[in-house]
Amino acid sequence: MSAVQVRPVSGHTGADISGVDLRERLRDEDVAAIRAALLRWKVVFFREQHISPSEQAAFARRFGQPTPAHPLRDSIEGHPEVLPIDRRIFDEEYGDKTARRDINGWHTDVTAVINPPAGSILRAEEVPPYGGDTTWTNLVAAYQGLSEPLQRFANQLRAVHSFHLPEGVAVSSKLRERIESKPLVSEHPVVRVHPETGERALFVSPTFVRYIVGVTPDESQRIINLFFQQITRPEYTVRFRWQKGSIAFWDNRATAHLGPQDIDHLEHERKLHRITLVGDVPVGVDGLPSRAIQGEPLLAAS
Amino acid sequence: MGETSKIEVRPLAGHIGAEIRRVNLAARLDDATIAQIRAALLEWKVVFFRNQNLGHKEQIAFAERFGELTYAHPHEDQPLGEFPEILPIDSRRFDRRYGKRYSYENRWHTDVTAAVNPPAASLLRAVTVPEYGGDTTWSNLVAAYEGLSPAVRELIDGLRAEHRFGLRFAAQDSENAYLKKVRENPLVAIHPVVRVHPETKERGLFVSPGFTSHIVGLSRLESTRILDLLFEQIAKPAYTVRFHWEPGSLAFWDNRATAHLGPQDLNHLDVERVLYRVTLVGDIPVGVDGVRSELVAGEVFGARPPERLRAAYARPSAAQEARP
Repeated sequence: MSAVQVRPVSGHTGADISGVDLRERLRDEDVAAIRAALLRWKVVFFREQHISPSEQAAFARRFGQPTPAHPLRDSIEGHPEVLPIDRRIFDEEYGDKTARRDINGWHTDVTAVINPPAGSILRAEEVPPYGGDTTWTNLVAAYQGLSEPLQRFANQLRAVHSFHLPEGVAVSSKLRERIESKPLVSEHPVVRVHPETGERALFVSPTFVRYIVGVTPDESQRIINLFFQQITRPEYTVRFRWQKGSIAFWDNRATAHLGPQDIDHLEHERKLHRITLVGDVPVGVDGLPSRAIQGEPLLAAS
Repeated sequence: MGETSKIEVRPLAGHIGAEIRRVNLAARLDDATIAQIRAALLEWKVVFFRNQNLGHKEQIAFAERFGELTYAHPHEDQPLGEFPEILPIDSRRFDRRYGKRYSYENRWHTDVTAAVNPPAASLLRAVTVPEYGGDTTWSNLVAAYEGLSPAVRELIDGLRAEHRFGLRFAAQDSENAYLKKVRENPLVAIHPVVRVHPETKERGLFVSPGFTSHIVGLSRLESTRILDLLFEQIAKPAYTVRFHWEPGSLAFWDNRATAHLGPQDLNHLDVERVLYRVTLVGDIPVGVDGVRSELVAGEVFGARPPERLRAAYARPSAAQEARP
């Protein structure tokens, strides 16, 4: 019997998990219970888990193989699989706060690569006393909420995703050089069939989607807006308030998320550590896999 | 016998609109000439004639060569007594009855699509028009459909939309007499979003901002987004022609394959603008899947006014208008 307790926190998305201590090696039945909750609720939350980067990596490995921290960003010292989510680093990279706001919109992690991570595990080291929440949305529920004619329409579409900077956004030359020297562009189905649950998800990642393939630019813009508006409807979302030691673990194949929007005027530190798990290549309703246009797959960290 | 002629058809834009010359519409035209005009209409969707010397009687006689005429309009309860087929588009009349405006509908629209059988065609004749301003623009709904990507065409081929009079008027308009009339006699139909033209078999978009309220079977959000896309499509300059009216101009459009936009640039001008319209009785639209439009409220828009308007159309109008 697993000691894991699962308490859903919204109608469609998110569950709190208690009854585990992540400093210790999890029993197989606990891993299975967490995985089941993740597949059902798309993002699960742990509280008061004061663990080290190594312990976070050990936890991650129970669910898959960690990737390198990020295709374009530096890991933390000594842990090549751990990406710092640190507002000070972002402030420096992006130069000004409006730039961060422009870049830091709704997204699914690293969909510019052909095999976006299967899951992401984000742990809070230091968080502001107020503000800085993250919101997730359930892309399966968003798909199911579409009318049947639009589901059928979406089923046959594909979209091009890339790492890119919005027009006119000032960022540090270092970040710009990295993006330009290592272009990452992939074509994914708009509706992704989840490899474990078989569910269909509206796999559009607003920050990374450039256009819908095979339609005119005007049509693409309109259709994308419709899908973005659909996935960000409040009913499909959950909003999480971080504390030191909080962990969010999301199924990156079935969610998109929105980072903090309300801390630009605050001076508090906000530092989290993220580990992503190697993902498979998405497959559409018609069985067609994604296609890399530029860049390499994101494989396991060595 | 009638006048025999070879008309001249001069296209005016890449996708839509032709001017027809060398024809006198006041004369009794022979069948061959009528056939040429009909062919030009089907090809160019709207045809224009200039310097025609027509009264109501001649306009009606010319229009009848192409089909049966409707009574003036489902919401017109003060028709011109002697000519119940004529709908005045008359700025003075609008002023008196409803407050200043120059047309019944100032957004893109196809005529009377709130009826289950919108008119097949409209013939609009200009009598008094401003020297500058007051143009009308038409859009080719077949070309607009064909300009969509295959995926989008496939999506909309199976969709249906509700059309009604009196859409999207703000609450402050609630005292407006015309709108009151519209509310009291609702006219509502459900049409295919893509209509198969009964003569050419071409597919055309059959939605317009004037009367299309929503797409059936979609959420409101989806409906709004998809309609915005389609409304933007039909209004693209590529598919349009713009016509400047002169006294004696007549525009004749295929109302199954066009939408049009009335004058947008007159509100700051104090001008008179008087035109007269007749419409041909239309058939019930059919979608790509063969399904016909559905009447939700109101009556078929035919030659005879419905019961509620019978009295108004029976007696010579007390408010009979001066006519040319």
